[in-house]
Amino acid sequence: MDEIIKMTNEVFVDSFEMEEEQLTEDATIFDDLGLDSLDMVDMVVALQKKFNVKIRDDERVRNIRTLGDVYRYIELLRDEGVTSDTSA
Amino acid sequence: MILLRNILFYILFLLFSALGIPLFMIVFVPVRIFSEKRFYQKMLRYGIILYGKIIIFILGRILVKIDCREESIIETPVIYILNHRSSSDAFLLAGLTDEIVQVVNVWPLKLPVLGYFANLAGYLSVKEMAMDEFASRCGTLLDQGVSVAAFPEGTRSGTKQMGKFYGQPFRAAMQAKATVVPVCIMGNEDKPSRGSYIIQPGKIRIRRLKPIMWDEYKDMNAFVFKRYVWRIMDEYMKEVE
Repeated sequence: MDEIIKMTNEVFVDSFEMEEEQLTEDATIFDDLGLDSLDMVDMVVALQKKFNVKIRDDERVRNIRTLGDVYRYIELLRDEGVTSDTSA
Repeated sequence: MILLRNILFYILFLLFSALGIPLFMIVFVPVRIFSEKRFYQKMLRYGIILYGKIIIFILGRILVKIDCREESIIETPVIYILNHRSSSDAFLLAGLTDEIVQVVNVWPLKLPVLGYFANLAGYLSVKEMAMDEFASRCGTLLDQGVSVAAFPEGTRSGTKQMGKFYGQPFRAAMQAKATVVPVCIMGNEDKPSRGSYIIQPGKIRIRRLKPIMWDEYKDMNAFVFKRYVWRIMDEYMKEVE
């Protein structure tokens, strides 16, 4: 899980110029991190690239509310064997 | 005393609207019928600006002083990004001088009379169109020499603290490689306050900041760009206020 958190946070730092201290598990994507629905699409694209997965059409993405949800979602993908290079 | 000045302002505002709008219609209706869309829309947009100017610079003097300046020379058309503290912002747009189309939520277009003119002037209801259509409409307007004015907070903050920005106008700017001009409206958070009609006397400052050209933001994504503009405006307002 630590590797997933590290890689996900890298996406937010590199693509959205977030500060590390903003990136807490309970930070909400919309209110705390300030993304809007279109930024969410950019976030998904950046996650796809980082984890080498195709998730754009995955309905579960719609349920993501917090950064912790992103971590857990990526972990789920890893457990399903969809991601690569994230073994913790 | 403040109450009396408000009553006087609102009476004059209603009288001016009740007389001015029908007078404008007398001139506008034949133009609307016999001229091309581009021409009558231009006339209407300048008419709306004039209406706003009379309200804020003449009638508004009963209560407020408007101090409107630009920090550097601006070559229009541009995409104006404005902060949004009060319902008076729609009128304060008249502090800008060029032909403008405003980006609005759904409800202003549903207002009687004003909504009709806003629709006819081609105001952009951002929630009723997909991003591609919105960007395309902004691009067409800019090509026609028309500036676009957006309040990316989406709703009134009611305070000196700006809300977060939505990304649509920034994405439209990126697509059109347009110049973006931040506009800070300060001092109007109580003119009137949220949930009130009472306009507190005082001074409203409107500042057009330095234009942000395509070259300056071309390497940013939409999120980074909107935060960049937000910070410029936030820092400026904190310094001035």
